[in-house]
Amino acid sequence: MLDGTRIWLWGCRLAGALVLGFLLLPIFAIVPLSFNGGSILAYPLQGLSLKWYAAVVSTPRWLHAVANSLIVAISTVAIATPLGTLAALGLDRIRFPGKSLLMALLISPMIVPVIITAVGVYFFFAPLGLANSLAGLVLAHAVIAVPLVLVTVNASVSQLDKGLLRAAESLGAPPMTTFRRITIPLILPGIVSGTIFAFAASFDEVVIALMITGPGQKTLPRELLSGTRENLDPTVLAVASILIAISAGLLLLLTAVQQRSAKQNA
Amino acid sequence: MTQHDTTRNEPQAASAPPPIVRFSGVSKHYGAFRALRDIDLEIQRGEFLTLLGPSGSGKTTSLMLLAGFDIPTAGTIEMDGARIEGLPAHKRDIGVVFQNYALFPHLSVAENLAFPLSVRRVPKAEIRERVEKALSLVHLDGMGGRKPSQLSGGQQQRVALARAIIFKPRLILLDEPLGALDKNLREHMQAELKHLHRQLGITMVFVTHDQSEALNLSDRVAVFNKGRLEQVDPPELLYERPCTPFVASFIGENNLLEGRVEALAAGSAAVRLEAGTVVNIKVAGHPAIGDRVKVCIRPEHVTVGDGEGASAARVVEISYLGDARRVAVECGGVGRLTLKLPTGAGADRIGIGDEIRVVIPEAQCKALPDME
Repeated sequence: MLDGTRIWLWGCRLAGALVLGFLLLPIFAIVPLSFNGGSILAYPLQGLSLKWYAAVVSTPRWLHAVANSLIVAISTVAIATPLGTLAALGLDRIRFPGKSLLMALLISPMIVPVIITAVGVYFFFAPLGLANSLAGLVLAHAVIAVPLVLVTVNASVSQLDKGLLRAAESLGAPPMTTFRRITIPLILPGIVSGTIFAFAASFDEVVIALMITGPGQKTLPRELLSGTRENLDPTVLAVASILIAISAGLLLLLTAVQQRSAKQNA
Repeated sequence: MTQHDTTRNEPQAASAPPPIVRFSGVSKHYGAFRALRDIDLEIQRGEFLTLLGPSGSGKTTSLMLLAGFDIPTAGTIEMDGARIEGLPAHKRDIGVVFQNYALFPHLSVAENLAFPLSVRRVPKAEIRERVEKALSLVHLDGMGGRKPSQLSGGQQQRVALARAIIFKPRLILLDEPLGALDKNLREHMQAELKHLHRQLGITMVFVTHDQSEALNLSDRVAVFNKGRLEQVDPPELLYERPCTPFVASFIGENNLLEGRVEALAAGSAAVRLEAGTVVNIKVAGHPAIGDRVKVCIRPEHVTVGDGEGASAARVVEISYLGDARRVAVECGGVGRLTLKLPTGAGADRIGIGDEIRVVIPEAQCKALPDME
């Protein structure tokens, strides 16, 4: 009986390891190649070198793309985080029929295929002069990012003990003081997580970027895509590795935030 | 509605201090549910008043209306002579101790206590001093740096209490604050609460569904039932002179026997019980002949023996309470009765199925208007 359980357990672990390998191997295949001394995209490596990273840092079009991506991602966060947070707080406060419908509507950009959003945004923005502009890309990214913030903040808000707000009120705190000193600190983990998601969503996004941006507004993923098409050299792999590192860093940050808040609520 | 507390229906005597809070005709409806129906209640300055009742009786609703977390559907609430029913909670200056304590989890104990002071812009040095004083008042010296999650339930309870007291509110509301504590700790906290009340002289309004807690703590108890205020009186009067069948059965144990008034004399009436017997007893209020009443008699007042007016009874149930036995009997002409017989006084020999004789002293019986 015990042996049966043990086999089952190891079977599960093996299956888990296989899935994990399936997911991660392509990533790990790329990273070592970016340190390749030669310029051929194949193993075995011809010595180790950082020259492709040096090439990234010294190529203006990559630097331009990095700057564009950062500007767009930070602006997206600046719009999406307050909007998503306020929407989550507002939806939590009121009770009315159709509330879940409104919620579904607000998070629909998460469900609609990005290409649909991208095409829609393009036809909507083009006559307004927002196509081929970073402002247009920021607005379009905000559309995708708001639901991510809304969902994560909503989870925090629904866990917030509303008795604490009453307590603050009874102790003499006006609504804004309660919001600033009690509500915000307590839902901050949700806001931070939402911000990280929003930043990552914008930073990695390529489909809308393809539609909206012109040659002057290429973001990092967009430049990466043209790089793989036009001149496939290990520089592209170096950029990809940098993107992977950034994503992994954000993920670690997210985990740290969530663990801290779990500890606080314990 | 009958009430012993008749002063509130009469003009204030010149010497009587004005109440700190006055509910006048307060009702609260949630859709079709009537949480509170036409409540009149005065809270005296400095008293310990308990709002007592089963869940859904309206006691917590009354507290929420007083704290400012809800607005009455009808009626007025005055505090120190000014109407407050529309005033937001943060302007009322009322300390509230919540059932689950509601301590801010992201703030330390000291920061929790400082919160009401800092929103009032008290200088930092004074805040530090008052926090220290409040901590020692509730015996938590040196705990200021801890987070609420690092404290035991009893300690959290004290922090909540200290936080409600520290800003010198006009009165303190306590919403079943001892409900989550185990029995020993609860009794200990009751004693401390009583002590704090005496020491600070502050008005306290306490909500509970535990009648023994209410009797133990309070100067006066307001008994709620189904959204109505049944009686407001000191604990002794509630126990000895209940005004309604509900109060009679909710405060301590009571036998309630259905009957009808057959004849009236000054202050007493002849009541025919449903089972047939006629008893001559005191009546509350002003019943008319033919009115349905409930005759109540405490289990400890019914005795076993062959005295005057004894009736035959058969024992149907016995439970041992330590210092006494609760004995249920089926009594001819009276119905089902519960007796509480002290241990040792011959009660030990009684067994289930025994035929005994019980005496119901008419002087201890009281007829209450049957409002059901």
